[in-house]
Amino acid sequence: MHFLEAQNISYKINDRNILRSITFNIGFGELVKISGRNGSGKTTLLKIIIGLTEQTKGSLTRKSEEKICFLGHKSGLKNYLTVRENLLIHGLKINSLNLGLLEKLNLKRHIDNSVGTLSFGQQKKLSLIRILNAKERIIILDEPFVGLDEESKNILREFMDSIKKENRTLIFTSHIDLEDNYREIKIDE
Amino acid sequence: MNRNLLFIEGFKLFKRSRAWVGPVLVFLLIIISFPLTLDINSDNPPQIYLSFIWISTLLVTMLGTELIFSEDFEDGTLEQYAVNNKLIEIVFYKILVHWVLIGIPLAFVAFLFILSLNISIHISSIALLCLVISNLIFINFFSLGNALSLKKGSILGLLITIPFLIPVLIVLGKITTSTLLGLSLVGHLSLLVGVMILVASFIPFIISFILRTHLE
Amino acid sequence: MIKKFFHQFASPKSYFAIANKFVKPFLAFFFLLYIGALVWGLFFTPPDAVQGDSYRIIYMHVPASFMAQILFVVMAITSAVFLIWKLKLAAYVSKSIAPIGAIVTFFALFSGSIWGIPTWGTWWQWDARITSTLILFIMYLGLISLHASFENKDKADKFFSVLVLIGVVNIPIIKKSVDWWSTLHQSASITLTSKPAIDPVMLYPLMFSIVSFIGLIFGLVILSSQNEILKREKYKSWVKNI
Repeated sequence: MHFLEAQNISYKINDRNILRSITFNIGFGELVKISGRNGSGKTTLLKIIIGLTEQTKGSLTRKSEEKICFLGHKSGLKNYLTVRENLLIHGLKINSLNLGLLEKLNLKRHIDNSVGTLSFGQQKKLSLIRILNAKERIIILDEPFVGLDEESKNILREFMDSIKKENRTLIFTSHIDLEDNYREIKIDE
Repeated sequence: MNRNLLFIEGFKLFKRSRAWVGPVLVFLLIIISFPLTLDINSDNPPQIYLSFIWISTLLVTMLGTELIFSEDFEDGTLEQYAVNNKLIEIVFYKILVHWVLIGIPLAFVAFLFILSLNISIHISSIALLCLVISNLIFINFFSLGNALSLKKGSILGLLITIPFLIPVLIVLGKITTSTLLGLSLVGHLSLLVGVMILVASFIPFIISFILRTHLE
Repeated sequence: MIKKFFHQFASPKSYFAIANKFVKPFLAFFFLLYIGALVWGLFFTPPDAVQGDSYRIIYMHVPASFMAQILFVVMAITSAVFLIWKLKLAAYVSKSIAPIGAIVTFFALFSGSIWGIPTWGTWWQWDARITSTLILFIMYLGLISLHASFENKDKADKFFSVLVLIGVVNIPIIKKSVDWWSTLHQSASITLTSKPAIDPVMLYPLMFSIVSFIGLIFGLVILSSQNEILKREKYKSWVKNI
């Protein structure tokens, strides 16, 4: 069953084409990778899917009222708050599960340091914890693999597999070729 | 009302202490420098001080709301709120939090300043009341300016919002005159409160429309 | 059906074609008419009993003050049309009005200032009408810089239109409050309802100058909106063919 049907979606900025006539369906239990080179409009397509942006042409039907978990390439982390506080303001509890994740990702010793003092990679890992906590049936991520080290990438892959098993859906963008076999929507002409 | 979100907004502003202590300190500095440029004597009409207070709180609330939306816009937080349709709620909370942590403290600092000039407690308390009300109006409009001019700097925000605040300044001026003449203030004050209610209930909707457009 | 027709008629392309046919003769006609009105007013009317010859600047000042406000209202209408029906043409027109409005408002202030020297003995008075005109001028400048600050012009159009609408709601409020604050200015010389307080010998050329100035300014708005269309739709094939 498809919960999202897109027909010939196009998008323009200042009358310049960003997306040209894209058609696809997405159903539950799918891992969908939107691929294309930089500047090909991947993020724009994600924004159209979650309803932040309206396509200039074509139609998009959402058949599900499910809540969406969305994480853009901007992380929503606050530099001036500590790791612990950042987790709290995003509604995550400091429970054994998350403490375990922090430990696994080597962030536990930074728990009371402000996020501004962490490296880019560490910040990406912190965002990863948010993704791993997502309870929504539909998860949409913009470039989730960028900046992660091999170990964290594996954690993310495991999570993706579990999503598929639970009949949930994950849609994400990537400009690099991943060896894994995801269903791919290519948006390069 | 979502207490949790309100608490988070309050917590975020509180932790960024520069954002709310800063404006109050700036206000204090302006206040200190004002008497130094003027011969303080009892012949000065109190209007001078009150008018100075209205204008300087106006400018300082502008400073205090400089980052009200641009910070959350830059780091992606607004995007996430918008996806879950929480934008309008967040706008209300942010304005409320800025009023409590910046608007109201400014009003009290101004109150102490007016008292320090040997102006009667009656006049000072009226000024305090007016400032508490007008600061909420100012914050609403400056938030609108900030939403429109996201990351384009505060000068643009100021340029487009100050014209809308002129009526409020005029009402404040009228209140000053009436207070000093000992006239009834009921009309003027209820006008100010009316404006506050209108502004505080409509502007957030406009702001949330603007923010949504930014996120497109 | 109606909507489709509307969209076709109000497409920038057909608007451009229609405007292109008549804008130049239209402009030339009203320009000559305006010059005619000025010549009439400056040379063929008697001097004022109180103000002497200095009152003659009225033929420039009054049309400009009038248009300064009318242009904002027109801009509000086109902005509302843009926001409600998403007609891009309306946004282009709105955007082209702002700089013209700013210039006209400045001209109103400037001519008023010159008029003030012989009449009031000062080039500036903090009175109600001058102050609200100055605020109007600042609002025009704010709108122009807001639009200029966005690279994404489609978004700029939306923000611009929202601000115009907030502005047009506020202008009467600002005017009323500024009136309340103080007023020294002579009240409006011509009103629609009551008998004009000005002598017909001076009134006719004044009406003439107002009408021709309206025509002239609208001609300019059309011309500049054509320019805007060319700039904004440069990727469209019909523009490339021009």
